[in-house]
Amino acid sequence: MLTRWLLALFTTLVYVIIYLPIGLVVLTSFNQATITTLPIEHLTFHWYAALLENVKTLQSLWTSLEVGIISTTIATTLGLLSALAIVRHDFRGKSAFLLLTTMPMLAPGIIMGVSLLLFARFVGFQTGFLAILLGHILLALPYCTFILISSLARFDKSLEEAARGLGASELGVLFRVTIPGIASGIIGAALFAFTISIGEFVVSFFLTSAGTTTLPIRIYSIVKVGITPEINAVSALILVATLVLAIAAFRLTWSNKK
Amino acid sequence: MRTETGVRGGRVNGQFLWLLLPPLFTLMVLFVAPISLMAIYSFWTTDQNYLVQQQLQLTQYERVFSDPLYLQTLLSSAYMALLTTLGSLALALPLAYFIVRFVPLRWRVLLVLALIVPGWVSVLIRTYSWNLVIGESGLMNWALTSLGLIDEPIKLLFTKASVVIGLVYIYLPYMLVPIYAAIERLDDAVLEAAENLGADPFRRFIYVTLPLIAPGILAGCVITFIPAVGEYVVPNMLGGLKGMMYGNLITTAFSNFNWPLGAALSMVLLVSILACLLIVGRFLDVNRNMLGRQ
Repeated sequence: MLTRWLLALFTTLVYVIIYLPIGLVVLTSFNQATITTLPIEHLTFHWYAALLENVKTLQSLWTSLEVGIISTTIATTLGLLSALAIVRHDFRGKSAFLLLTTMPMLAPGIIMGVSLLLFARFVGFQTGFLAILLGHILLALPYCTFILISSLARFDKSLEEAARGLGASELGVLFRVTIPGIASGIIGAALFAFTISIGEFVVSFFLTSAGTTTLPIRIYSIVKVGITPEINAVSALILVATLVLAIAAFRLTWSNKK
Repeated sequence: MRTETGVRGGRVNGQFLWLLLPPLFTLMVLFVAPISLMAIYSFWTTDQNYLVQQQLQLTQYERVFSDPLYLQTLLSSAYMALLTTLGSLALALPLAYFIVRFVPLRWRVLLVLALIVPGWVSVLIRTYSWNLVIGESGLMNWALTSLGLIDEPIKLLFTKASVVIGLVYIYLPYMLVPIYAAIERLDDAVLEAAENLGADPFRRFIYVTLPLIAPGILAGCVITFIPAVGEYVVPNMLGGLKGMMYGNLITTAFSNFNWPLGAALSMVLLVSILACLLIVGRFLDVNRNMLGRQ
């Protein structure tokens, strides 16, 4: 019984530690003072208003959204192809292919960023929007693949066979049976890919160009110069957006499991 | 499976290639080729104008292994990553155990959700947020000063300790998920059997529970340790000079236009990680732990 209460206390403490820093970000975004200090004396929306007038920050938000949406679409599609090959087919080198898919998850982000930068320069590929996009596709691909592998593995294969038996073409089976059947897995993978892309920093940091700045890179450059509550306002907004997305993703993948 | 392929031969095979080739091509071009190029690059040199000389030499590796800065930083990064791993484990294990064994199912979902969701917020923001907690004018110093416990603010920010705190915060979800999954897979019957045979809760945990969830713990340690060693954002934002990590050296080499050195430093990191993985991999069944399959 004592163990149980100690564990409960400990658990509560960990939750407090997890939410304390991000709670402070939201709180200080309403602080009137220019330096982020405690205690907070006057509450204001000033920093949110200042944010809306900051063209550079808004532009970087737009870039992040573009990169996020495009890379999510491509990574999810590629992940679905991978998952279909792995779950529905037996082939030589399957475990090698699985290992290759896992590898990008196991290498630290900095190595991915460095190697992509070297490669881009070597083949004469301009860094910038497209390079960041490709980097994000690579980062998201393993996660999309593994999420879709697990939803495909749970999907009843006999439905596909029944459709085939009734004369559906392979593409017909894919688009009218398999994809609707694992829709929640696909949406889960897509939201996962999007959350990776929207928060990604290190790889974008190496692949960025003067013209293309994603939001995390913009935040980084502001934080490096000097911390203003404006950053807290941006962070609070992203926080809320991420929470909404993440909860949506979790609900979808969770309801699929149950 | 084999007979099916035999009967439907060409059609299935053609379809199969359409499935496999695009992701395989992507991984080859965006992962295998860049990493291979980086390996070759690490044997090249630069001249005084920072132009890359494409001759295979060991210059960069000689530099990495002769200058104590590089290896010492690698070691201290490994040490900080180890502390991070142990710290996350110390938080994750009791937490996951409590949630699985003592919390009713409908609350469990909510609690797990509440743990994982903050992990999806940008690393940059979560790291930066610790400034507000442990910074000189942050919450911790404000609270301690207000309570009259300290006169001077504690300078915790920009030390190794602040980096490890930040790393534990960032990598806790990585540790939690596999451990949680392992504890949830535990068979109640086994635990009841241990109890019936007279094991007290402590002995039951050490001799029954722990060995059964060991693969999950190991998986959690691996996926926490690896990205933590190569971390760049956290030491850069919370570390200052004292809390520098190996990732900062790689970035510095690149911003000094010494790309072959940066490539060599990256290769040393990558090979060290692979070596660790090979050692641990003997104990870790990738298929079972990463795919959640038996």
